[in-house]
Amino acid sequence: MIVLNHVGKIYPRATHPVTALKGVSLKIAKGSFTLLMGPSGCGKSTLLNLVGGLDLPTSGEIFFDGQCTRDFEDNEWTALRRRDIGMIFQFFNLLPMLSAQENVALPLLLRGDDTKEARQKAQEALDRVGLGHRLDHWPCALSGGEMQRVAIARADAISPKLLLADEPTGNLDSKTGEEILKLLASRMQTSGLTLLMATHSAAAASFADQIIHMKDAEIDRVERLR
Amino acid sequence: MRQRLLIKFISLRHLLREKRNWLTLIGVALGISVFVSIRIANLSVLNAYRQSVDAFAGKTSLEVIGRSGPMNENILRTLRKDSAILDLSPIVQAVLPIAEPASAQGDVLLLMGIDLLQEGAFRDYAFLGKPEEIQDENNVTRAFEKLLDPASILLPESFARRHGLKVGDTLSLRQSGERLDFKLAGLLRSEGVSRSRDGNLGLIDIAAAQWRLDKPGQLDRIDLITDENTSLETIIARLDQQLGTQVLIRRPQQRNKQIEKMLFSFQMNLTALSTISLFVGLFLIYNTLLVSVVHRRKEIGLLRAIGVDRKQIFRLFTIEGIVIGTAGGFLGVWVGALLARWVVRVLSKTVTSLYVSIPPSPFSLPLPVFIEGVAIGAVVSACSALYPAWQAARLKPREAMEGVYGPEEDGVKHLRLTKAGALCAVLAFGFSQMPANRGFSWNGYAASALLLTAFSLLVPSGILLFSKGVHFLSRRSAPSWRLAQGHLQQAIRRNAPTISAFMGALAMMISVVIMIESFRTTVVLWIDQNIRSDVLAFPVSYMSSESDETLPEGLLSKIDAMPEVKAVDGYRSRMILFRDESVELAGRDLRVHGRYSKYLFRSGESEAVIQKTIDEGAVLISEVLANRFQLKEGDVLELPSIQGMTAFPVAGVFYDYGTDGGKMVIDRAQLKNHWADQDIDVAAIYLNEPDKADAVRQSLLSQWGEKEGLAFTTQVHFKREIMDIFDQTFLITYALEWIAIIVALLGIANTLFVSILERKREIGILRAIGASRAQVIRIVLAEAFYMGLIGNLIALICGYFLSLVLIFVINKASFGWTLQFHFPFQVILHSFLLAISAALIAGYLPAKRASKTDLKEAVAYE
Repeated sequence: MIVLNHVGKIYPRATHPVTALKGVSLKIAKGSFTLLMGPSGCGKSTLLNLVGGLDLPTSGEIFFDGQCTRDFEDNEWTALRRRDIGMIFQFFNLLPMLSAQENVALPLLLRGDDTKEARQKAQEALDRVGLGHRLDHWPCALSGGEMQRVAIARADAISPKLLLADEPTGNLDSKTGEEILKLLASRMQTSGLTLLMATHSAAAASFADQIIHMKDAEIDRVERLR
Repeated sequence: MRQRLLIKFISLRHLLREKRNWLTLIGVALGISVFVSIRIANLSVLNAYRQSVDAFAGKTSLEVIGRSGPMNENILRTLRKDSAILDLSPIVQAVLPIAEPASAQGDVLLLMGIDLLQEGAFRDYAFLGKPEEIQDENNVTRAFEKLLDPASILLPESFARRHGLKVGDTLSLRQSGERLDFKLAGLLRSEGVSRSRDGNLGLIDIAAAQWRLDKPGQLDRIDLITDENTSLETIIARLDQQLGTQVLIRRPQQRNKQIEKMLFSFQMNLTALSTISLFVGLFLIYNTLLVSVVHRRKEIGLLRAIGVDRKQIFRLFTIEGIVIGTAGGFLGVWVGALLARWVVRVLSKTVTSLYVSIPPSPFSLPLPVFIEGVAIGAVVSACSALYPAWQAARLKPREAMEGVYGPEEDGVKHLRLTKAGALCAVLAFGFSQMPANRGFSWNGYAASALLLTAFSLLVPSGILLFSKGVHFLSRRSAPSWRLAQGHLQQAIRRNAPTISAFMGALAMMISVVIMIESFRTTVVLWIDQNIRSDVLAFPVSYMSSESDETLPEGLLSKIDAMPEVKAVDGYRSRMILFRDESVELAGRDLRVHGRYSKYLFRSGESEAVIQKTIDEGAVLISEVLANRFQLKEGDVLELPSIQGMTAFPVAGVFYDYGTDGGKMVIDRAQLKNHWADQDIDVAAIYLNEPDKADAVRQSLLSQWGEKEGLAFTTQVHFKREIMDIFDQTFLITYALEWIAIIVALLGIANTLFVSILERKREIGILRAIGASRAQVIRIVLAEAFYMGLIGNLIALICGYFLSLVLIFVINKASFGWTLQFHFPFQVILHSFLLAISAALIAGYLPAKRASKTDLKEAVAYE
């Protein structure tokens, strides 16, 4: 599904360029659940950003579903995110002026889906995360766990091939965190998507297929669990 | 000490680093510059007028003028006998068009006939000559001696140089189709009197003037220098008794009062308009600081956490506001001074065409105006900084540091603001119903300010209402519209001041457009009713200045004898004194006017009222005059004629928009009887076949045009010319409004920039979940579109009410005109086009900036 060949990222600073990623190579199989673990600043988020096209590598190549993304323009990345990549963040990042249903429908509407159809799909996605009764609630009226579930529904609504999650449980208590992990795992199994998650949570290991341990902007080791 | 540290470390760095502060600075500077430029222009024009009047008055302590027009020179004998009169200088004068040199054609010259032996004591003259001659005290007398030849004239050096005239050359003026030739006998230095009227002034001997201007035995004015030991009141009382009611004795300054009163109203209106930009600038500072407080919540929290107290935070933000305002004031004063050069020129031209000849006004930046500009910047900014500073001071450190804010729960607050707005509107209505104070519409200005405040207070509720309506409508539209609507509703507190400022500027623009259009429609209607003659004949100098040139003798009967001509109405206007004030008295052939044309009377049908005027030897007065002197139909006016005071009953009050001070109209036969005035200024010619007007005009032009210096114009052309003058008058008004709108646009750009800074994360997420750059641009532009739309919707309502105040309260009190309200429906379309395109232009850069948001930074944790 995802192949990284010697991918490096250096942030040019006037006095001291910062190396965020050093020639990382890895393969992530379709339908797998991969965890990225390691201390803060080791390059987990950078790697997720590169895979999601939020940032571009300084060197190396990233293949998405067999397609080389090296020469991708901004609009090609946008198209990929609309169609195939869903994202979940630590701070939920819901749009405060949209209701839960509107937040979930938004990516569908952005890619030009019919409004009625988008709302329908959003409702189904929210049903799947157990929030079918909270369609018209504003983000500020939801709990942290509920907000993250809406965020998962939003990422899931487009039926992506790949789900990127950056510390999705980092801002939740352990019980809610575990519920979120279970939800993600069950979504993976039913829809067959690929999940790449950066996390500090040891509890996540029980759901994952492999863990990529990172250290100092490099892959330290790969731990296969299944 | 600690405060200074905070200012140095925090405020100054913010002020210098954040680009939006520069936008605010430019906006405030523009607002102040408009105010300053109008102040400078008003002062320059007034000063130039006063200086010119003072130069003409010289050492004169009293002047004597005829109430009915020129007076008999026998009066001099009585005056000479009075021991308190030390010197007297009789004057005969006329403003006439220049026929030669060719370069001066189109200009007019004030021809002053003076008594050579007396004049030196009154005004300062300096003659060009050898230095020793200038030192010689007898030089003045010798130079004046040159004038004893009736064909001699003295001209200012500046005039002579401009037109390449040397001593001995000929200058020709034109009067009644005749040329008056003069030989240049000497040059006056451009000092004192010679500098006034831009040097368009000629001195001749008084006897020559009486002869050549056809005023035998008559004088226009007598200047007096009186004994300082006798009070002027005593002298005036004594002379009043001796000279009777035929003349008026007054201080030279009294002559200017009437003109200054009219100028005051005109200038006051301009000043009021110029404060709109200030008002918009005030909102700009308020908004910038308010946004700054929201934006710097975490910083405020941190400062509070490390020991800065509430007062210091309050002072910090107030000082930031004052710094921006004062810097804007400094910049604004200089920009205003630059702008004033143009405004002074346009204003002089307008005042000259409307009120009184103004010499080219010297430009200056007086120190008081400089200080005033900077002080206004500081005070306005301090005022507008108070609320944001208070908001900053009351933030709780912990909440501030969290920096996460939910949607505004401001329902109660909006209700409170709406109630306050409603109260202001009621007060505005109350003020509009109050009487004005002697021509100064203080209540009208107060009502306008209250209306603007009222609608500004209604803006938050307006946004809420609008955004709810749009929410309902945009459920099925593209996501950019829904998102923009969401932002709008979420940040009412931030958006309201910007939209208020934009709304205020637009509302003023709309109200002024409605006022001008109403004025225009009224004038067009008035012209259509009044000017029905097919061709008009008048001296070339008639339209452009206050020229005294009249039509050639006998022209009227020659035209009347033409087979194509059905009737001719000879029109003559002269100034008389009514209740000690200068008033225009016109005589015309009312029989012809009544039959072929009409007056719009306040009550009564035109033909009947005119017939009554002829039959009863009555007078018609204009509405402005009726308002000025509190007159009505049926009153009897005592008018000074050559036979003494003559009674004229008022037969009707008609609407007139041609003069500022109003006028009286009588039948020309009366003018001949009571004022012995046979002259004609304008001939209104009615044709048997009106569609042949162009051919008749050509034929008239070839017979008398060039030879006699006459203009012949068809009705259509004449009307167009009047409307051109009308439009020119409102040039500054439009310019002022445009600047206010530009200032408001800076506000929109500023708000959107800030909104984007604040929503960086949100934009990042949008991009992360699949929004393209173009979609992000569309979202920001949609928001700008909504801001423009709401601003304009409210501005249209506010502008409508403001225009009612402008037309029926301010204009009525200041100028006395009744205007017919006319709502130009295209204003709705135009204002929408203007508001929305302006808002989109202002939103474009912020939108571009938003589309380039760095995604990884935007979605990073913190």
